[in-house]
Amino acid sequence: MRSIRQGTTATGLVVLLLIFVVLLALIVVFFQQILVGLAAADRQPNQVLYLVLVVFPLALLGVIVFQLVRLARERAARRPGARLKGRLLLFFGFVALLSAVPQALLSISFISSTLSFWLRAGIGESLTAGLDLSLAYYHGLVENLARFNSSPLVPVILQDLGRNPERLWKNVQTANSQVHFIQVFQDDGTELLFRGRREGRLREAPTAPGYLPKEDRSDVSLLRHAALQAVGGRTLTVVVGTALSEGFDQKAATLSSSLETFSQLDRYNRLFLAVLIAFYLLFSLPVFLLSIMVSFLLSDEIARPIVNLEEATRRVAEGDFSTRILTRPADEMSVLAGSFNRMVSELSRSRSKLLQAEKIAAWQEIAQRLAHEIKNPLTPIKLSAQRILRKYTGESVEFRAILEGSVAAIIREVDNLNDMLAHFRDFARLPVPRPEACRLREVADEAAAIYGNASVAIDTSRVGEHSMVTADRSQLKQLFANLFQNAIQAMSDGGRISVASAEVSQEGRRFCRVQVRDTGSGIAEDIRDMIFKPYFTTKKQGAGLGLTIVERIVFDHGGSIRFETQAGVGTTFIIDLPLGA
Amino acid sequence: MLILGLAAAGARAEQALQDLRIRLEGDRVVVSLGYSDPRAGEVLAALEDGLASEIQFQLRLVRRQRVPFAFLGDRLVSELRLVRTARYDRFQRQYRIQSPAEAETRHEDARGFLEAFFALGPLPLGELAAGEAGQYYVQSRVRLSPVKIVFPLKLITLFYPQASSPWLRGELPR
Repeated sequence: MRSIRQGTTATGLVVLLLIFVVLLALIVVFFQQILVGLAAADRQPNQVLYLVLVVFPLALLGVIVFQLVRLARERAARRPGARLKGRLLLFFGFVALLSAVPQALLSISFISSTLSFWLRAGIGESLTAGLDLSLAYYHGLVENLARFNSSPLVPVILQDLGRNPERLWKNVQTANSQVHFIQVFQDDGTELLFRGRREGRLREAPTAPGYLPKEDRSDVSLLRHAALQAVGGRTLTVVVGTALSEGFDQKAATLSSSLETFSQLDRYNRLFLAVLIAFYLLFSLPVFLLSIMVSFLLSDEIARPIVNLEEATRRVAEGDFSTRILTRPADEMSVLAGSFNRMVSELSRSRSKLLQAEKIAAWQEIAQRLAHEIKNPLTPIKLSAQRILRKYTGESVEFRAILEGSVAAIIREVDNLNDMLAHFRDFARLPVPRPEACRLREVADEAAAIYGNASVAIDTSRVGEHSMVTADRSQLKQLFANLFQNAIQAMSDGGRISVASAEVSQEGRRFCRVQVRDTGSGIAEDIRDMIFKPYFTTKKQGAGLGLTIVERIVFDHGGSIRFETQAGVGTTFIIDLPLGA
Repeated sequence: MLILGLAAAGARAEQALQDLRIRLEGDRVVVSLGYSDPRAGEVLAALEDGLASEIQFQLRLVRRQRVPFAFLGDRLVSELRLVRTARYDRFQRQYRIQSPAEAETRHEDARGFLEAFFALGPLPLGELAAGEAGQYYVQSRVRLSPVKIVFPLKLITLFYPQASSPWLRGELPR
């Protein structure tokens, strides 16, 4: 029996699942490497990752192209299911696109609109204006220091240097409130005065007049200006300074950084957008390709039972009735496959019956015609021979003896031919069975009573006492009789015939299985195919119709017959007669 | 467009010149590197725009492999990688050069800034086995980014990497 097995996509799904997990791992690693790594460590990501991220979708694309080419070839070769698979693939691909395209459009639109939002003119101008304000404030302070320190007011104020330093400081604050401290050095670098915020005090005199570098401290930044002033015949170095408001530096740095980021966004706007889209596609494309691969698997899964059914149908149409479809029990297709298998079984059985019936009918016709053609001349031959013997009055004793012997031989052979023709007639006129409920054991016992003898024992004890079959009783008896006769002839030195019965189920149908076993010489291998053929016999006497009639009776009752034989051990005929539902 | 830009950056990087100077102080290899790049103007323009520039120096001391093992390639003895970031301080009107390995420097004029930004060393690169100066050589490479890309725009460098100059090889004095 040839079977078509339903395949499974479990392996394929596991592989896809693994690929999906790898993809997720790649996404996580890549995210860590690129986004976090770039931001934190300020380094280039691993080049191998680039390679993997490019190779991975390319490999998926390669597999898909390969599958598409294979499908195209299958379609060109008109392979079963190829068109269906193609349509299913298109359908699944379309569904995947339906979900992927809006998502992609939404994401790209979101990225684009977010960038546009951040790059809108107002923000850039605000940042620039903020920074300009900061710069103006800063430079205003610086210039104010220089202006004040260079003004003619300072030498006047410095008149109080030795007399009244507190008044001097008060005058400075009155003259310029943005001066937060003042320090005066004499020309040898010795400090003469310091007033104001303590953090502004210099340890050493500045080497040159002018702006001093801004001094950044943790909590404050200090701006200073140094100028040379001639006071009382001495040249003094006067340092005035101001402390920037708390957090000014930090805020200015944040503003500068924001402006830097904004300027870069503005400068690389299009490139950044393209990179973001490429970045998005880098991850979404493999996912989309994976969904296409899943589509291939699902198409295969859906199309496979139909392809198998088509293949099985084609085989049956070509005459291979041994074809069966195997399915998983829980599969929805199992019902259809089961029905198909039962249909093929029925078809096979009907076809066998039909062939057998046709064969038997042909042989019956031959037998009938043969009997008719041969029987007609036999009677005149026999009568003529008897008449010749009766009319002979000659005196030759020798001739008389020859004549009597010859006529006796003619009559004997004519009688033999008549017997044979009677078998032919019986075979040709085998009536249509008239089924009735029969006790199997009773019928077997009746046949056994005729053929049982001293050398051959017939045992029917293993036939169920209450085993009932619906059959033509006389034909059933003839079946047993012919089998017994056949067995007895196979056991020339005696032996044993045993009959057994049992109820069996096959493909949902119930049968009474009858087994007739002998202990004869078995059936030679070279004639096993011919024992049911009409007029085949290995015996000198016999028409070769015994087993043919048995097979005919079995088929007429909707059953089947087969045998198992072993040289020197014996033969068992196994007959399955259908039981009612 | 992207590929053209990348190719142009690579071409300009190749036009840059390196002046690699090597001297031996005992067994110590001391290296100084001067660099000139046609993109210096881009650096100044970027700084004026409030952006930062970055330069990365890479120096290697390499020992030649002996003849039977030449197929294994030469052996890296030591490597120095130094990254500098430059900004223009609009408050103090100064160019500032910062590096994790160096003290911050400030420059009032552009010329002085560029000279300081593009020059490296002299710096000790490594030590040699006594009397084997002929077995060693020095390699140098510079990568200049006129605009130092900040996060999140750093993503651009994935598709638009900054080109490095080719490796320059210098022999040790005998």
